[in-house]
Amino acid sequence: MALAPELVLDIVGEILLLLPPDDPASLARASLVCKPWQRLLSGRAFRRRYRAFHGTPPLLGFLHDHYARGAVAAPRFVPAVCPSPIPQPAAALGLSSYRDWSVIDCRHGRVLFDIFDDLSTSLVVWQPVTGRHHPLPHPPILGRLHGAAVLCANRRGCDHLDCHGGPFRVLLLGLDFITRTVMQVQTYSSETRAWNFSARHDLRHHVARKPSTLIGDCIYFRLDSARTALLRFAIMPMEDGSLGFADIRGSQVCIWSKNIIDTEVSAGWEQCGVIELEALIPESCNQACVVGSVESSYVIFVNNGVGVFPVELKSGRVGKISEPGHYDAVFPFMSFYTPSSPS
Amino acid sequence: MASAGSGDEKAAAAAMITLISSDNEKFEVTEATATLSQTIRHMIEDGCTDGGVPLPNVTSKILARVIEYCKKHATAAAGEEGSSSSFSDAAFLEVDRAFLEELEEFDDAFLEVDRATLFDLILAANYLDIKGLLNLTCQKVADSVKGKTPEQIREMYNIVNDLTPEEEAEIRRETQWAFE
Repeated sequence: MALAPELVLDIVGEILLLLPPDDPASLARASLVCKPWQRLLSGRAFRRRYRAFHGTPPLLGFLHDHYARGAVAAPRFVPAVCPSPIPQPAAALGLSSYRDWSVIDCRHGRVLFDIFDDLSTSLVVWQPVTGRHHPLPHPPILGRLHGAAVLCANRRGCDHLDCHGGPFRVLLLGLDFITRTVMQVQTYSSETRAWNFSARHDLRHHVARKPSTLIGDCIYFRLDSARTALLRFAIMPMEDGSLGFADIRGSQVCIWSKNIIDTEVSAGWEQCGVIELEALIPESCNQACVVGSVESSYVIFVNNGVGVFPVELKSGRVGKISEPGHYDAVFPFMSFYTPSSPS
Repeated sequence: MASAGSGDEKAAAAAMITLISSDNEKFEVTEATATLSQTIRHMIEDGCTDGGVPLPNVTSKILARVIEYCKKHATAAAGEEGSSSSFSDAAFLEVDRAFLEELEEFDDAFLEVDRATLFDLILAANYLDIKGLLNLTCQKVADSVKGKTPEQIREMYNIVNDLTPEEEAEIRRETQWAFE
């Protein structure tokens, strides 16, 4: 049957659209088949269609500070897909392993690292999908920062599926130069390339170096206090826009939520769900704790000494993505990964 | 099944459409079957189906298969509609599940064709704009591409590699991770 080549290419597009996002290698290999396939796959139209068709980006893996025996902790990427397109951050950023650095946030296709050197803090934003990284100017704070968050700064209704090339903002909490005890908030804009003072808070507690949570226009950080320091839990946004947290008590995952829409009427925490962990994770869960959550997908990460398990709270579906080890906090990296055009 | 039977009777009373393949074979089908194709649906809406619908891009062999698919899926749709009023919720769910299982079995058996037929079915589904059939057949090809090397894909589907050695080397460098 003689066919117009464009028609055939149309159909190739329909076929390749159905390759699953959690297998980015299949798309990458398909781009090596011939010129028309390569052009199709790296084109903007296909990329847009692929994202719209599949909707939720896949979990490509997570980042965490890896403690190896006899070495200082260093950020590491643990892939959830095989083969994985995401390189190790130390290699991608050209940082040797003896530097004092750690991962501090990850959102909207960007990862934020905190590099402590010569008594001051530097921050770097890394975009694993494009391979680009942006060192930020020294923030005007005293010593180490206490908490930080990175987020897309596109104000025009971004779906955050493909915005890692656009503008971003970084928000940090650190000690004030003058008072040395009062916490101040600084924000960085990639458009102005400058830090701006935002607010000052007389915080009585330390901010925990754990993943932050974005709900609407607010970023939530966890505080370390005498009481909460004993608890291992993760904060997350709930479907109804309230702030949630998940922790483990005995063999149960308990989910709590707090209405944040009307902050004047603080109703306190309400328990809104309990999930039996034993039914989900059959192996020993003696020291199980929640070490992270996915902002948009209602997924938490449980470490039980055997490995880190992503648990879908709605379906109860459980995966396993890493070997046994020390996981203090994990930062999930969700993103589509489609072939790029050759430079 | 009672509901499916009543669906057939209803369909029999409905208007019939004649489809004409590229090799001039005529196929009489119900409107419910024909309108799974958006292309034909639009022709019916525009009132240009008198004297039959010529389909110059589809052979009789492929058209027969396409009609087989549409008949099954149109019956399933009609059966679901009919059953919703005459069964309790639990029974309806049971029937629903049975329908879906039967339909899945049908689809699996339907896809047991050689590669040339599969491609012709894809082209026909694309031309006739039958979403379900296009998705089903494309998924079969997508599944066969998954996990394969570029060489294997080219061989399977007779694709000529027109990338220059330089282009190929560059893409290979960027996608090296996908071969590990």
